[in-house]
Amino acid sequence: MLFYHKFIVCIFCMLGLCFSTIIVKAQELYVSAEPASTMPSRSIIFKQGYSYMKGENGSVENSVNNFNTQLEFSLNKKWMAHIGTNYTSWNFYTQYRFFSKDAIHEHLRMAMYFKSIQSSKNAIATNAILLEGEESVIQGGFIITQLKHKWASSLSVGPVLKRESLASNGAGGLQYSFSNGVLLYPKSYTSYGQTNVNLYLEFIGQSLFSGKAHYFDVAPAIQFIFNSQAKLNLSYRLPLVNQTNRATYNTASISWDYLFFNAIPKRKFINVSN
Amino acid sequence: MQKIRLFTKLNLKKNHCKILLKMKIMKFLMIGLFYFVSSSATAQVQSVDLVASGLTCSMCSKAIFKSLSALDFVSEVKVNIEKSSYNLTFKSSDNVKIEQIRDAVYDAGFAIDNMQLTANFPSTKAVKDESVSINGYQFKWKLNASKNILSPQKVSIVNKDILPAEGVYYLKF
Repeated sequence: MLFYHKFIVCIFCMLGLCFSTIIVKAQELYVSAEPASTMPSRSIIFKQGYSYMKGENGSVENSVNNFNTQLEFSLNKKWMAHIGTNYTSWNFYTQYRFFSKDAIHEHLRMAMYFKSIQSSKNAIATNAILLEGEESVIQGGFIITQLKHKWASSLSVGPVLKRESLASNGAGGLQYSFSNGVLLYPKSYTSYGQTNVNLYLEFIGQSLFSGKAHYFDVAPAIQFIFNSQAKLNLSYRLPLVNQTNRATYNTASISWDYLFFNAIPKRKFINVSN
Repeated sequence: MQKIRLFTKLNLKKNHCKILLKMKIMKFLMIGLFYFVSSSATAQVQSVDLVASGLTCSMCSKAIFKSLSALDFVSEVKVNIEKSSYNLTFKSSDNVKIEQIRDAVYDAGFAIDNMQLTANFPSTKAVKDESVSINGYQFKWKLNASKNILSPQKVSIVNKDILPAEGVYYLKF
């Protein structure tokens, strides 16, 4: 990672921490990244989303409309998996929570993850590794999430590799994200029927191992949670630093998902100790 | 001759009554001895209060609520979302499984900060290290109690891990 890139990352980490210290209550149900916490055991989430990726210089010619459908499920409290498609590619994601330290209104969790994207398209000759189904990719890494009464922050980092690379600059890089969340409403909980409104500020970055390309995007988002079971997410992602030749990078997204509790029948062999 | 037979019959009846009386006395003595030797109080859980840890949001709270409500011996779960506290009442006091309550919170992805049981105890005294049986679970009193046990009485499970695989389980109030 180049020096000035590291400097910008540090600045935004500090800003993120400053932002988080004025939070009264925080949420970790991030829109652009996964926290280290896993889903409730034996639950299923159905997710549907749409994103509009604007082309370079606002070009409509290179813009992409992306519909995606995702199914998320958990067999036990430590392991969960996602299967998704944007109808030109498939993706499989799995996450295992290996550390959890809980206290009243706070926790520290760590998890490892793996993701595989299989695209029906040929690899694109770009010096960034594209992760929206434009090409086939594998990635993995670690996530650490800290929730305290007043704030929740999550950091993920790990390698990302193109399955087939046409880029002369190398096929691998480092993918990372830093997410923060705040609960705007309600001020105090009285029932599960109250609508929650959360505000997120997330940073997503990628830096090739060759050092010849990198980007650092910001993705603010607003989230509505209905009946403590359904979510509506609105986000807009734009680059703060873009030293790549990505064809599209400004992205507006809307998605909704619904959580089905106790959807998978209980089996003795899937129980794990705490 | 008839007098002798009558006398014999009366003697037989007297002996029979004596034997029956002796058997009844022995029965009561055996029951008393059983309780004396076992020296443990038995109680049944009427309700459970627990505080979960590791969460702040209502969606997380609902995950625990749904997991506890799915237990087949639970009749109702009352929740205070702000305090992350849950009160469980049961269909029958006989069939309460404390480890299943614990696992329901763990399966939702969280931990238990403390768990309290409300039960009717046959004894009014709590003596340190004296055995207490609640729904078949064997506990010991952690401390000597300065006050008498009420009826019903709310007690706390001292073990942070709530019935760990090894070790002695303690109660306090």
